[in-house]
Amino acid sequence: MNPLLDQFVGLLDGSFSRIQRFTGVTGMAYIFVAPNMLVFSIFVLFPMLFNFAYTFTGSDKLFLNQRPYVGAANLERLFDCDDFLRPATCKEDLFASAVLNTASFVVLQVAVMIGVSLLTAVALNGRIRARGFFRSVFFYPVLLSPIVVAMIWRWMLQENGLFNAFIVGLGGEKLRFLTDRNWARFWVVMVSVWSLMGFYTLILLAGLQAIPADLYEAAAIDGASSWRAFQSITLPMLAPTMLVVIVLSTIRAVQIFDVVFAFTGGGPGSATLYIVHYIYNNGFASPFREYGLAAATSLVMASALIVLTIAQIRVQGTGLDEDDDSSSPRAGGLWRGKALAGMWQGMRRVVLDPLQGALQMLLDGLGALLGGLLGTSRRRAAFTYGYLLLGVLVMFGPVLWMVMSSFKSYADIQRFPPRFLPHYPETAQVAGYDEPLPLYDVQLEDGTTAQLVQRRRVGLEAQMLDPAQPEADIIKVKLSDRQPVESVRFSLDNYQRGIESFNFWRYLSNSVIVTLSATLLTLLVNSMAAFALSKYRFRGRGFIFMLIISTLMVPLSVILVPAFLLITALGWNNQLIGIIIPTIGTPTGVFLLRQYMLTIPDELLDSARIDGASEWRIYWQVILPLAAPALAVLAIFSTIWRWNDFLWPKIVMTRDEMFTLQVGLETFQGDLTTQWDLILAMTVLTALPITFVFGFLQKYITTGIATTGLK
Amino acid sequence: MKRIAIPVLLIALILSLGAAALAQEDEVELTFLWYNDGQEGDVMRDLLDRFEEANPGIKVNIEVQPYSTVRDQLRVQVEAGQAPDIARLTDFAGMRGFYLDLRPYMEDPALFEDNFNPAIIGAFRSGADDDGLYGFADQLSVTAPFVNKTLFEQAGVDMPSDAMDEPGWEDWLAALDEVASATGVQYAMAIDNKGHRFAGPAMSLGADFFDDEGNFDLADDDGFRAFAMILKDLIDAGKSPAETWLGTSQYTGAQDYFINVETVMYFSGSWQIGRFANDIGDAFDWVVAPNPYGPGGSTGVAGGAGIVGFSQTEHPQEVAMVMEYILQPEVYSEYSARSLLIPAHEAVVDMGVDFDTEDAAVAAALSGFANEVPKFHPQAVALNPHPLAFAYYDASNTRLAQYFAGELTLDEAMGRLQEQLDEAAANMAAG
Repeated sequence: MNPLLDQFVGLLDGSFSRIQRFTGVTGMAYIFVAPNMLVFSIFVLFPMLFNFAYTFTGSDKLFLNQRPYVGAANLERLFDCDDFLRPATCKEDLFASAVLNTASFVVLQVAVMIGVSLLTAVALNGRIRARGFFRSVFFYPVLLSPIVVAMIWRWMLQENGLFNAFIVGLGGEKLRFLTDRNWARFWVVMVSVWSLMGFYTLILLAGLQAIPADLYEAAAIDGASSWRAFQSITLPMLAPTMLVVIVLSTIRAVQIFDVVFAFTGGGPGSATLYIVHYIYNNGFASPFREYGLAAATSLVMASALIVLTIAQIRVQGTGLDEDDDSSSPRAGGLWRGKALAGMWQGMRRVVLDPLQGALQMLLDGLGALLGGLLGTSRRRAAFTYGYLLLGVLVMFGPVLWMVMSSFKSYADIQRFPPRFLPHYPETAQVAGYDEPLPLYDVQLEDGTTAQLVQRRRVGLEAQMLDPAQPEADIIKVKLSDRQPVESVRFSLDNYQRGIESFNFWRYLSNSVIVTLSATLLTLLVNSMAAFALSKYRFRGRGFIFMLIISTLMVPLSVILVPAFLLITALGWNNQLIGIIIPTIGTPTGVFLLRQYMLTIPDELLDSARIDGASEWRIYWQVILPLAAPALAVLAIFSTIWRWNDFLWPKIVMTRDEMFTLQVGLETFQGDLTTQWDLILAMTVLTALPITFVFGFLQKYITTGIATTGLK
Repeated sequence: MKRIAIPVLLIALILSLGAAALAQEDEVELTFLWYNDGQEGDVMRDLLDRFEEANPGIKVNIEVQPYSTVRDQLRVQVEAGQAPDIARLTDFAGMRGFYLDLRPYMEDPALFEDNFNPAIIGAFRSGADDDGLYGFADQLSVTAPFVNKTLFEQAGVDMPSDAMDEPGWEDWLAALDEVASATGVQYAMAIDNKGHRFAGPAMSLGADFFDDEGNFDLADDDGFRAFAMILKDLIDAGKSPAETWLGTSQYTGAQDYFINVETVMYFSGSWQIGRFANDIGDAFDWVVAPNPYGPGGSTGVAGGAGIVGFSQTEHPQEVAMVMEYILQPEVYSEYSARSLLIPAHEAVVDMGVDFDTEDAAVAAALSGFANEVPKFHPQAVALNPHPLAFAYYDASNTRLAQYFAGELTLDEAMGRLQEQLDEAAANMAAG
């Protein structure tokens, strides 16, 4: 090992040993849990409490001591409404719209998400070749940042985009995908499903693979059709996993913001304005800062999320009771499974059984249809491969189209209908001109054709020259009579100009510094806390763990205003530390590592203690190496999270040179609305690093997620 | 030897650090937050280089940011106690109370006080009894339509402003339509999605933005309604880019449509001249047309970018020196001339600016905008310095988009707009 690191570890070891002499073995637990809890309390718990203070004060002042107490006025404003289903009757009509939009978005998105993910998981679970490849294809968009996802789809759906090109090519009229209310809502659902379905597919796939094969064999012996087996074995056995997926995707859907912010900006009108966006607008974007209204909205949203979180805890289980039996690491899984099975039974009895008759007929009909269509295994295989190949097209096509387009010249990008490959005009050097001039095939007035260069273009007319005789007169040619001479070329010109006009290297270095340091710190403080929570019995352990678990699903958006105040009070605005430190006490990481560490036998620790190892040494030399697989998963997650972070850096960083790539990219597109040549190139560059990471680690990432059920 | 060497080295190190610290203390560094419409930042840099040469102890760092950052983030930065020393911004009234009063620091306060419209100077002040000198405008901006003249020529259509005396919106729209369909250009007219740009045509069509006390009064305004309906028709018919108003909630300039010959007319303002001179070059001929006539006359809206100091600065004296330098008529005049911006400084206006351009289109555009100045409706001058101007821009943006998207009726949209403005006014009075 690096001698410097050795020395450093030795130093730590020494100081921790001294501390241990004070605290005793059990007392060390508090030391281990302290860093994580400190960050967690300051940046999560404390702001949650402060959110109340904002909710009940008014004015546009940021600092609490300058804000007058207004009682429940902010909450009253939000709920001052005759009919919540008609925002026009509400005082804060945009709040009502945001709530309604969010509600319908959540229902639609979760339904589509479950359907598509389940279908994909079933297809991937079949006996197919190249499963790893297909799995990665569906998973890839999960890694892309919301801003990148938004750019990819804006590019395809804009008025002169690829989709409209197809429609016009088929003889239709251009559709307003992003400027019509219904279309915009539709695409927001589709795009969010596109970008996240890979994640849920993996979880469902893991659930499918855990179903014992002998059940199917028995069913086959009994002569059950495969549709029948799907209904009677797959669905019930998969129910617990399905519930996890439903809860997880619901919680995520409620929090939707980044992708829509960059995709439709909440428009047209307020058609895709969702709650977090409403909070952001009131607290951070309008000329009159309504911190109180923003905080009140957060409070309302937090209440809704608490309900969902409780459901989440009941579904996933806290796992608090299970470590008494650490010799059987799967006990937790069983306990969870039992609880879920119970819930599933309950749901069946209350909801499903009464509907059973009708449902059964419907399902049987569907089964008969599918049986006819997919009766033979060959047909089924064809269908599966067809579906998976379509998946490759849908998941990779948009990315490929963006990458292709990013190599195109500005003129080529403007072209409608577009072409797949980037074309560049051929040029010729002409005596008397510094720059080479573009070449054209020209239909001359006498009916002959010639290859001329264009000197300049004036509206519908071009002034052209014969490159062989530059001295001769200018020939005026109608634009319709000339065709550019082009060749296919992949030019890096857009990238070069983009990097020049976009503070790329600065953003990149900020992003790299933030991602790396936040990940390292996350691993350290999370693993220390997880160690304490899994291997020590100390007073307050249960309380701390419940605290962490209960905030698992509290999004940053809920504590935006007070967290921002805190950063301001610390003077961390426009400092990288302001976006690194608040993120490192992740409850998710603690939870994940703790669950893994529970499986490490206590005997190992005991024998180390007998050998005289200090608690720090046990943590560093026994636990950490053994927890390496879980640490690797967390490292990958943390890298993805931090690389793709958008809202928090956008609020903390107000100076251009402190922007991360995601924030820079969003600002860049806001400034250059229609300069797609540069936007596309910069989007590709922003997505590139994470794509490389995925390329190298995709196997670990996908299996890691499948086994831990996290994102 | 070793024993002596280390203390000696240490002392040397301490001394050199101290010397470096002392040297640094001599120089005052100021941060000047800036955004660019065209190339004016380079001109300012050039002028400040000269200032630094003349004042060796002061260094001014121009920090260039996107306009959206200045608009959305500066306020928070200032509230958090992290204001730059000097800034260029457009929301004059937005940070009242945070600005630095230059009066006590200036050698010649009259140079400031006597040369700017009281509405501009007053916009930065906290109230009627505040006589501070906080910020001035580095340009007077004027809104008016840009027209692609080459397209008119190719279509064989006369520009309404050449063919008749006082062409109104109907005359223009008919002509733009004809040109667009004859030349295959996608859009007839594009306009930035900002209530500021919207106000000029609305006022020309008879809108009264303010009541007698100077409060916004738009709930039932016929001129406002008339232009909103014109715009909705254009967007619905695909004659004006829907994506400008409906594709994003943020302020979006539509200049790219004009530069790329995707629209015949582009409704914006004088700050675009520098960019067009650069980006259009000789690709086509473009002109500034008079604002279309209506019952309210033919008015654009005044605006401008302001330069202010912040009271948080540790170097108020130096900030005042920089500001006073920019206020020198010859300096200001050079800035206007080279940036192709219309001066707001009265001494400079009186001197006459010799604009630094050989481009006939630019010269014509500048005089085109100058012709719009005398036609200003009084409310067109009052709008931008109004303390609620940016609340109006923000709210009108949302409400008009809701109307264009078919989410609200025009009456509902205008009612909501007025409600939001009343609320903002009440908040302001309470704060």
